[in-house]
Amino acid sequence: MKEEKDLFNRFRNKDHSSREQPSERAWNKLEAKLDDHNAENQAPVVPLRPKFQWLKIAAGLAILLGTVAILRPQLKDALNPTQMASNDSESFVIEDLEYSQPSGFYALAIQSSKYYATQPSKLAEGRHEQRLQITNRKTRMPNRTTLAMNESLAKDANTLETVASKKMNSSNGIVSEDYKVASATEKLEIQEVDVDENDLSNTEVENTAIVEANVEFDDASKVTFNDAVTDTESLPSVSTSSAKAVQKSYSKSKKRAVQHYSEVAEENLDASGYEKISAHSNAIAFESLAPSDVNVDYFKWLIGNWEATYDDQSNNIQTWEQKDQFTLSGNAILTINGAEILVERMEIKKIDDQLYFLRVDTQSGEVIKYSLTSLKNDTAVFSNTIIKDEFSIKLNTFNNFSQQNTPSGALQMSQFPGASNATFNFVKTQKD
Amino acid sequence: MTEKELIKGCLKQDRKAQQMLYEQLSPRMLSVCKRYVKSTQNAEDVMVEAFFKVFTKIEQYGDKGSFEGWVRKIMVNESLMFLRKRKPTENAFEPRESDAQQTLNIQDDLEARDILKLLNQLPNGYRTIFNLYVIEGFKHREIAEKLSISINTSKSQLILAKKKMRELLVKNNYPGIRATDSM
Repeated sequence: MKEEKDLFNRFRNKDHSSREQPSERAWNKLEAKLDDHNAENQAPVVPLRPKFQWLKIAAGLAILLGTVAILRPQLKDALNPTQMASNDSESFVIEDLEYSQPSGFYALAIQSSKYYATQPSKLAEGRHEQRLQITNRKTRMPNRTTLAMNESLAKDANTLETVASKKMNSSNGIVSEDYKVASATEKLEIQEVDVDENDLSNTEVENTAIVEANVEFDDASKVTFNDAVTDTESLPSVSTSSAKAVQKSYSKSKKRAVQHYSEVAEENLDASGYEKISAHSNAIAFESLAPSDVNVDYFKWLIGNWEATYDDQSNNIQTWEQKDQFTLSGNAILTINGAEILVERMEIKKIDDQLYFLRVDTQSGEVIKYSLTSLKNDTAVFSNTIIKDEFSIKLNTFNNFSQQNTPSGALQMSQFPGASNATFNFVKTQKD
Repeated sequence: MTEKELIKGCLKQDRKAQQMLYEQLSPRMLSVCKRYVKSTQNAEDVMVEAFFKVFTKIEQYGDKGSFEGWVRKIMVNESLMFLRKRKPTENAFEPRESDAQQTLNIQDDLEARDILKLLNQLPNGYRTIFNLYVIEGFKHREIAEKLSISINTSKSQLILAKKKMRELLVKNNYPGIRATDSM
């Protein structure tokens, strides 16, 4: 093997010193080609007749005056460096995001390393209109993307009671007056150490994934992550199989980098209500868990009476009924020592395309509005992102919510993080 | 005249400088082209085309690195382009059994002409990848890009090319090589 390596080195050395005189024909051919090329590139010169000489001078003067006129403001600026600096701008690549329905759709514009910017992200899974997609492409804010983001933000903002009005400011790219992306950057680099299979001194392969992202909204909510993972692996042995080992190691490390990227992204994105559907080396996609077409009929199984008995023998009875096509309403009555106290009024209501859980505190009259963020495994989660509260309704024994008339399910209502993660278990006592 | 002065002259399209540079480099460059393109006539045509590019795009060299290395790269690319154009319907990087076999009489050390003869016995695809990897020193990734093939194809073709080369060396009684040696 060593002899062969030496031999191939000798091949290289010998070849680099080898020479062969070309025929005369070769130079003649080259010269003719160069002549043709030069002739093509030289514009024909038409000499001016003496009586048009003054035209030459006039044209020269006109060019001179024109140049001075153009350069004058720049010369002025040159004397004022502060003003020059303020005119500096950085160019960036603009690329349109694809989308069909903008509702429920977030797109975070981000920056990427040159290498991965050229790689198309393959994120096709999940419903487009429900997709939270993060790619590491360069910042891009073309009209359609901006529209999608604006609509999404506006829609989201409607569910936030503290935000009164939304005025879109298209001149800044994204955004509403109350809720805008202040900055969005992201970078993912996977650095690989190239391993030459013929170089026996290489016994390790190293891959480093550097993940950085920062998205800030001016309402103080923010998505930030910055992490790096380095993966070093020793090759099992340096042999003819080293190429295979290197390949295997590469793909394993890349897989880990992608896994790490998606884990870090998930941890830091506060992507509750979203489920990761796809992750690639340069992109990650989440799908909203809340179906957009769900309506109050989904919760018809609630209609009737539900009872929870506590340790102190007090009872909580919930009564649910259908108020109209878009609303289910419920009362919670607490019975203590025979006395009945109305503690809460509730509604599940469809407003526009969104389903809400409304809780009315009977003491204060305050309405807390939760929007449906997830509907999975018989658990519906309603959230209020302003007060960072979630309220879940879970039906334990039913296979799914569509089996409306089964009366024996155990209704579990949980509120978290408030009320110490209290969970109330109700049993249906009366059919609808 | 030094190489720098010749390059300066070529930048001004000075024919004398072009000719001097050509005379200096063409013997080495013709042997590069001949490694890829077997026939001398075709290799000369490829070299002329490549030199034409060198002289008309010389401003792209920009005084970075070795000038000869830059010219050599153009020669290699031009040779690859020739191979691609010549066999548009065939995959030039697949082995072909019809390639002629020659017998050499290698006693001890290999001379440049022996290497060329050995290379000429390799099928086109093997020869190209062997040339690019072993002689030019390109990485598989670069070869894959140049030939529009996958990295794995480049690697597997190289292994087969080396195997074939070993067989040729054994056949020609090159000392110290056994038919079963691994790469």
